[in-house]
Amino acid sequence: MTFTILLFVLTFIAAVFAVLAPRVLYAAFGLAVTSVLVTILLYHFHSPIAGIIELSVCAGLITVIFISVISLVKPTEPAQRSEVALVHYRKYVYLPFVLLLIGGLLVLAGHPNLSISLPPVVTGSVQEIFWNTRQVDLIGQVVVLLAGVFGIVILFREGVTK
Amino acid sequence: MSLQMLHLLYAAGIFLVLLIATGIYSILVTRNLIRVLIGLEIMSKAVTLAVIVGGYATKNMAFAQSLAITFIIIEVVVIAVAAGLVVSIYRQHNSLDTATVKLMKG
Repeated sequence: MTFTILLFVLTFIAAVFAVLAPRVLYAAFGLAVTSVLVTILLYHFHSPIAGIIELSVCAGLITVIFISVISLVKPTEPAQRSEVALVHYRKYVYLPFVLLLIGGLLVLAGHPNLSISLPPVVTGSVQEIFWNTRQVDLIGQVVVLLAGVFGIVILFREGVTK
Repeated sequence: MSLQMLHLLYAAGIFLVLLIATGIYSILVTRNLIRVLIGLEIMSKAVTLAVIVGGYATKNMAFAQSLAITFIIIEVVVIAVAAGLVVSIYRQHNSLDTATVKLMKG
């Protein structure tokens, strides 16, 4: 229980760092660290397959995508960095208050009434459920993947905006 | 549901709501398109964790894992296409300011 809470706290701190980091590159690294911590949490909750996909796709691929996008845009001039950082921090002044307010309200609300009937357990392994029980979802997933691939090809194509 | 599981769900729920709040706040206050994507990504991670924690609490781990895998795949497609859009907007307007999106036709 304590280890789980510690993991949640670390994940939250990494996410806040990703939001607060004055440079976008550091924010992307913060997001990668958040993904790694989410992976550890997934393993902790007995979800090794989801964990490995989170690690490879979110911590790996998405970080590469973010760094590629950052490298494609013009960086801030070194002289302007301190000013940009100041403006950036000023926007997040209210974030601790918002988080404290929401957290405080949730703590004050206490445990929710969980005397509801639990949904039926879907039997079978992850592979069986993924490939057999959720076949219709799989078709939609493949369509979304193809749409994403074609979208990326069109958007990243050189000269398309000229 | 055991008391320990209830405590775990409660603690996880608080942290996940705070993660989502952080992502929403980031999207609301920033004017940088890349930071909007980062906020979206943080919210996605909270939702992935919520699915898994829900499956863990209801002893439906296999189903929760398959849903989480689907969610992660959709998430990466959304981020990749959005990243392409950000690059495209930058090429058009030479700026990553969200205000430039308002200048687009349509």
